[in-house]
Amino acid sequence: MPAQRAAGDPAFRELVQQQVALLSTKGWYHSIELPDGQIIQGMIGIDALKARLAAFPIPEDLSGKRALDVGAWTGWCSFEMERRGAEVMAVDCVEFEEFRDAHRMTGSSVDYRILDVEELTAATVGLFDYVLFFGVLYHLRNPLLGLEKICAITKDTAFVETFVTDDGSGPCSMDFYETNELGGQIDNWFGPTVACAAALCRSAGFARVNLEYVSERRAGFTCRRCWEPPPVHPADPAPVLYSAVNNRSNDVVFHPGKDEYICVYFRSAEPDLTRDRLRIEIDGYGVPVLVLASLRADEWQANLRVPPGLAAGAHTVRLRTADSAFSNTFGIVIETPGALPDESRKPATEPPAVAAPAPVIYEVRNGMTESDVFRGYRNEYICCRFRTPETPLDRQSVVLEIDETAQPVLFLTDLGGGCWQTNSRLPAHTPPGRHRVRLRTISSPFSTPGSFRVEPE
Amino acid sequence: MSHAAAADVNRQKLEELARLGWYHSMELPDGSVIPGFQTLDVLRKRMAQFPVPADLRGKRALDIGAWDGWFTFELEHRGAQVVAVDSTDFQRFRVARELKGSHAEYRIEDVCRLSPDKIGNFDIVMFLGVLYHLKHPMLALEKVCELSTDMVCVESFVTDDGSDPAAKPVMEFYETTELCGQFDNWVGPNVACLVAMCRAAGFARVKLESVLGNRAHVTCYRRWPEVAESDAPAPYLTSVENAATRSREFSSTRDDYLTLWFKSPRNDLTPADVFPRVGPYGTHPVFLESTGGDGWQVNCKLPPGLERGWHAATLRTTGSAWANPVRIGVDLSDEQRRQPPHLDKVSGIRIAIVTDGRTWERNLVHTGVDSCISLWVSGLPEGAVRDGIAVWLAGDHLPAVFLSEADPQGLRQINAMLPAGTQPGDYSVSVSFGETAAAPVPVRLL
Repeated sequence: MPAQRAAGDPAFRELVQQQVALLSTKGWYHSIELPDGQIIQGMIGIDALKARLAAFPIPEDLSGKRALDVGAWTGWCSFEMERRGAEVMAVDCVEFEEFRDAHRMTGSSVDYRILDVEELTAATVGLFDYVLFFGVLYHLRNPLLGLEKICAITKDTAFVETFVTDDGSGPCSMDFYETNELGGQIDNWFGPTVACAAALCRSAGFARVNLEYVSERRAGFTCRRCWEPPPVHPADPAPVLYSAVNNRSNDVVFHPGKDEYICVYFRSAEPDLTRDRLRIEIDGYGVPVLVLASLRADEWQANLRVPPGLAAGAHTVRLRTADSAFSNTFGIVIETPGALPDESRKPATEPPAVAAPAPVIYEVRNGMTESDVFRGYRNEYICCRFRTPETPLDRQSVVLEIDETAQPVLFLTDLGGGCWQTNSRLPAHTPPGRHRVRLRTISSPFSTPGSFRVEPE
Repeated sequence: MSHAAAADVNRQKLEELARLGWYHSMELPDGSVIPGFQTLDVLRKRMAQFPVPADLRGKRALDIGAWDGWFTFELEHRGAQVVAVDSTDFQRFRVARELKGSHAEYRIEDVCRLSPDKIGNFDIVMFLGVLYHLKHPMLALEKVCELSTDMVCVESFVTDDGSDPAAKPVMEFYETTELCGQFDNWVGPNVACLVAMCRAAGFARVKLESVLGNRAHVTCYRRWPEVAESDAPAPYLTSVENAATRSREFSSTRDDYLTLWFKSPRNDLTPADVFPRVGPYGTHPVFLESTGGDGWQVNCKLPPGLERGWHAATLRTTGSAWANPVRIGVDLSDEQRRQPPHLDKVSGIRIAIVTDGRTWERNLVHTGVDSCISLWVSGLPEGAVRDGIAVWLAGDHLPAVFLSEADPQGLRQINAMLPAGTQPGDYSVSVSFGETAAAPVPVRLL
């Protein structure tokens, strides 16, 4: 049975208000041990603080690690992680005098910053091996945005502790508190169920989310950015990744701040592949799969969110299944804010001198139908297959022209044996009839042209 | 191009359109209709759920999630200058715009990346069928509130029919494809939650219009209705502070709240009787408490979309005139911080008469080209000069263009020009000189 609803529960309100009154008399929220063995008694005792931290798999030795304590309050967790050897930053949305006092009295060198969760970025605070996110989530108007910010600055693991509205048996939903419905406090916005808090953590971009405990309307989650290590002796063959594109544009370019999704197309010999057996990575960080669809035979499509915090520039996608080795990699690009959208697709410079032999086009195909006829649909792509002895080759170093006009190469695939494939969009308003395609690399002359036909139905 | 050739091109286009498949049906100028998934009746019914004025001439309108553009073209048909926004570029929108000869601007952008800097402000915003597709619904509603100056129409998928008055606000979260097998659905609020989130986003008033099937229609207003008659005495505002920092400065990027302390002869106020306002924007009370005697405290959210600078905070109670304005600073620059206006120190300055220069009717000013507001004022210091005098119309600073010598009753006349485009309605007007100001008096603009 889900617990009784906390909002509007007089007993819960009474409990919170007792704590608020106690806090106002104590002044200190966390108890703090001083170097001389004395203890400043706060609202939460040392044993309770230790027990709360012990509920999470935080390494005892944190030397050489960077750790962040978000919502540090009086700072017990910050000082404890410092004691374990970490370089610690503590963040709060308002400045607590008690933190400053404790910081001084314990001789701590924790870096104390006053920032909102939404202001946490790699640029402002850097990246962290471990992040504590205790008692903050339900105070945010945009809980998923807050978790995305946390995910974006976490390299290894975030530990999330939050108020929850049930014992784990309820649906995936969150209560909304417009004013002071929850405990008579106006700074509470959302109360998630346990299922919802876990789903929010996954949706924020964490690869693995583990529920550690649910007790007394609080829950703890360990959120890891990376998949478990791949099997030492893979039982299944590695999948073949053949593209990763923006689901809106079918392009490899993504835009920071937009809600964009990656469609990953791959081949896998596993017949009964499921979402939870897929391990997709971008730059080594695991990304959970939203939808997995079987296209035909051994071809699959997986859709996933762009993980938060990817810097402008090139990033690498690869995947494996639970029991396979990793596939080949595929490059995607995060748009540089302010840059011209097409800039990243053009070869940086014109070839100074012709060195490599011209590529040879052996096939021009409609990616949908595998014929050379196009109907003018939005999702038809021109696949141009060619041979060249040049290697390695990347998308930026291939120039493709349709009827003597350069067209962006949206992706380039190594087919093996010196064979390659480019995909480009059919230019808008291409008239019916036969059209010429040719290509070159940045260090070769143009190939002899291939061709395709446009025949509207 | 000959008529026959033009007709041929048009026919080809229509055939192409039919092949593309339409979501919205579309009326064309020649009277023909492109049939879409949603019939014209359905589209008109969706529009009719909201009190959108039939005449939108002179208004700017924004259609978020325009899809094929039926609502965009309907707003334009009513006279508005329209910007349509979508997250994906729909060729059908572009084709329909051309066929209809529309001038609507089309932009491809995510809601949460929109800002007044990029696209300006809008009198009316349509936000139909978008909210539940968003990961951060509160952020989106705040963005929409920030972009709007008057009215926002919100239509969203909801999880109940809103008929249970005891229903608590709750929102389902869809991690993958739980809702309709689509992975682009993120949240499903119940009706109570949708309405509460709209209020929390910073609107003054939120009205649930209807729930049809699994769609709720909510109209959100940024302003309080002006009261026609103000018999009840205005409350007196004693102080306004940032609820967190206790300063008079606010940040538009943080979730800042105002605390207004005021005196009112009414001892029975409820939050529904108190109408706080900053600049032109209303903001509803989230907390109201008697502080003893005739004193009250009310807390409310800083309304989104205020420009950097000083703004007048004021309030009224049911049926009363507006209280004396108190200045608050929003995202102040150092320069602005050095020159704070001090309008809250009411002194011996008193407005005896307010009228316009043509009709001489008391408390009435006719708007129009070169409209002027005239005040007869007592209590100005001896050495007062025109340059030091400011006339304040509902928080707007109007420089004085004329200051007379004192008449036999000791009254001096001040004239100020009404800014172009000032809307008719009920306002309060005040006069300041240096650090002192007159208690505001009501004026109706016709």
